[in-house]
Amino acid sequence: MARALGLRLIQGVLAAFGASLLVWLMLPLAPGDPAEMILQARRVEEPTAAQIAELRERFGLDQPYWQRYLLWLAGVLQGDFGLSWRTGEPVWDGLMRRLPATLYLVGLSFVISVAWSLALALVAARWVGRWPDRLVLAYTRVLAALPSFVLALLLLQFVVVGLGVGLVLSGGAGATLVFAAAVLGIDRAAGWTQLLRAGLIEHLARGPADVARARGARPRRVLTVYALPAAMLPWLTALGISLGGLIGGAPILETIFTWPGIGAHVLTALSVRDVPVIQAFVLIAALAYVGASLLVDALALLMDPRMRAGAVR
Amino acid sequence: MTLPLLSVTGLSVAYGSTEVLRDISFDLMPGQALGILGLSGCGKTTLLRALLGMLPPSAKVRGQMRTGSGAIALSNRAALRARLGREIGFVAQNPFDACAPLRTVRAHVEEAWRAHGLRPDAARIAALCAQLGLDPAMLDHYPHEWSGGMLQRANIAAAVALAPPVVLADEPTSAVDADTAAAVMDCLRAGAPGTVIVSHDLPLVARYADQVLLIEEGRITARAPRTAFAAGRLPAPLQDFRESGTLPPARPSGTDVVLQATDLVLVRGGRQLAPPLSFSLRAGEIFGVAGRSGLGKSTLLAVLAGHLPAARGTVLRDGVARAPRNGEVLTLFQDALSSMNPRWPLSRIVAEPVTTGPLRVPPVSQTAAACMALAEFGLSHIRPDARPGTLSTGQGQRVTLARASLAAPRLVLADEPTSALDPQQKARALAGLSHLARKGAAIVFVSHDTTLLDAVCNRVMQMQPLGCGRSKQERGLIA
Repeated sequence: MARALGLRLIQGVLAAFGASLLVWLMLPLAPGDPAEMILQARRVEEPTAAQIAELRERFGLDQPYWQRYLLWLAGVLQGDFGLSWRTGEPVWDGLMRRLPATLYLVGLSFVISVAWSLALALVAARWVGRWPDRLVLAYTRVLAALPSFVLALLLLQFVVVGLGVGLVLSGGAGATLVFAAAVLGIDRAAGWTQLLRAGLIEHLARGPADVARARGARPRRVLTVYALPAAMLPWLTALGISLGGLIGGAPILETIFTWPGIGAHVLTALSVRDVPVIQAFVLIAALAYVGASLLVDALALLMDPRMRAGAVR
Repeated sequence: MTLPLLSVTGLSVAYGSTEVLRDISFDLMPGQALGILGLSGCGKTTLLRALLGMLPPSAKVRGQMRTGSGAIALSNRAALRARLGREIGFVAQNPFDACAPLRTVRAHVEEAWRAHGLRPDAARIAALCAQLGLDPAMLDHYPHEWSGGMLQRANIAAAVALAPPVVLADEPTSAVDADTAAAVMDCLRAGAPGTVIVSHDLPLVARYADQVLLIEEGRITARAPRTAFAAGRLPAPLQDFRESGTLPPARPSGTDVVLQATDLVLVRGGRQLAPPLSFSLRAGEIFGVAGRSGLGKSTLLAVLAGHLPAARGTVLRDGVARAPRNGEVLTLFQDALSSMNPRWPLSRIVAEPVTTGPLRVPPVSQTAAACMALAEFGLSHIRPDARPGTLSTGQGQRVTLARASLAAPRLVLADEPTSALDPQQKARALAGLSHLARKGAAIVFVSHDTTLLDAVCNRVMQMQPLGCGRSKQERGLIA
């Protein structure tokens, strides 16, 4: 068990290094001279040779690539992502000011969607083929087909503007947080609900559930004790994959809700090609992904004794 | 006069206008075991599920059942289920399928109490372990760490935990090997005052049941006490049932050596499994491989198929040490249906070898080739556009035989191909296998069942564990 976890951890660290290399390569592989790009990011249209030379010196752009990567990596490991090309302030400070608001939104919406999909799938599987199941299925089909920003825009239009509930321009806390989180969460829950419902129905028809019924177990017990743990493994994997993608997907949704998170910051950085900020954001998103996969693997190891045995062999 | 433990009268089950069980009545007396025999699809499983109240709502159930707490209509599923565990215990066919893989075996046994909201009785579990020969320390391990025979005993412990007077067992030994089957049956008889065993295995039922019922096409067609078996005074339907499983005799083999194995050492997980093996396979022969589980039978098949290298020793194909060619080796599995794509029509499944293998047939004549192969194995009545889901297990195995015959392999590896089949289906599948041999394939037939192997194989190799003297014995050589 400990060995299996250790193995996953090493894999995770390797994946993180790979991600850091790819992220860093964005800079040298991007077309154009970085020094000119920096000046463009600062709206200097026709830089002089002196300005460019000074920047090269300051950002260490005249060193060989591998040295620059190692320097950058060493900085990243200490929380130093370099200076923003646009503002000249440290990238880390700019991100950290805005990251908490994003984490609130993303975290709360994740919790809402996990709970919502769990509840819906259990209801659907408990009454398969009857009206609660059909209702859940219809709901998930519509929402799974609907891009989340469409739902967000529709809700903004009809609920916030139409009914006057909540605020269009959100301040980053309170009721607007819950509203935005719920919209994101409910939307994302659709696919997970379908996955979990299918798993529950499959495991309800399997031998262990059948035998439990033959012992006299009631439907609710068969569902929660026998079908749920078995059906949860693939569902957890899907959750982990989405959890990793949440931070990466935050900018678009934050823009819709005018959420004062990391989103607007990153979009600005993208539009002026402020590479260090983009690098830092992509790396944070990649690390979130690696961390989430690790978490899911650890949970699966905890739940499934066969995987523990398999990993030790 | 003693009252029966379980009394069923006039049980009928229908789906719409199709009647699958008609007017089934029987009594189970204290201390007795009742064997319910029948071919697959005769309604045995439906009968069992009707008594458990576990048929789907679409099934119309009529009839009455009487247990210790009184009579009850069999259509009253809710009331039936209230008696489960306390008055009726259930032992499923495959112990690995019955136990939840994520929970310990102790949790599986304790379910007997927890299903009724009771606290598990540790003393009772300890007593059951002692009675059924279970190691109490093993209970905290997971099902995949158990052997099939032991796990089936744990299943029995769970079934009898609340001391129900009656235990219903569905093919309780078909998933465990022959050596442990006897021990499982003894446990079953010891566990409860009355036992109902549903099976297609006539020798097993004849050995353990005091009374035998034969069900054919949903009706009881014969009843006989155990003594009738010994005395040879069986009612005609039971006599026919016994004879329907008669196996085709082995045929002389050809002289071509398809495969020659010399001093083959099998290793799994770094451990040598059996003493070195040497044997040769000739075209047209059926070569039996017998032995308990864990001796490396599956590893041997993987080596012969070329999927695994042998740890030591040589495998010569047609006299040359080479990997098998595409289409040269073909494997038949115990669960034939799992080796088919459920979404493909049978014609496509059967014709697959002639689309990928060395022998190709133009697409226009593929369906015709598939139909011919199906007819060759007695399946001409099945529509070629049917999907595998509509087949019975026996038909499924014959579809894979038809597929194999189109592939015209040199070597066929059959891993327990008949252990899930009833006697009649088994005889048909074995006839198909010897048909393949007649067409020139060498067949390796792996099974637990040495009696079966002796009957159908030209030669039988008995695999022995390490340190048991000679590595193998060959018997019944028909040149």
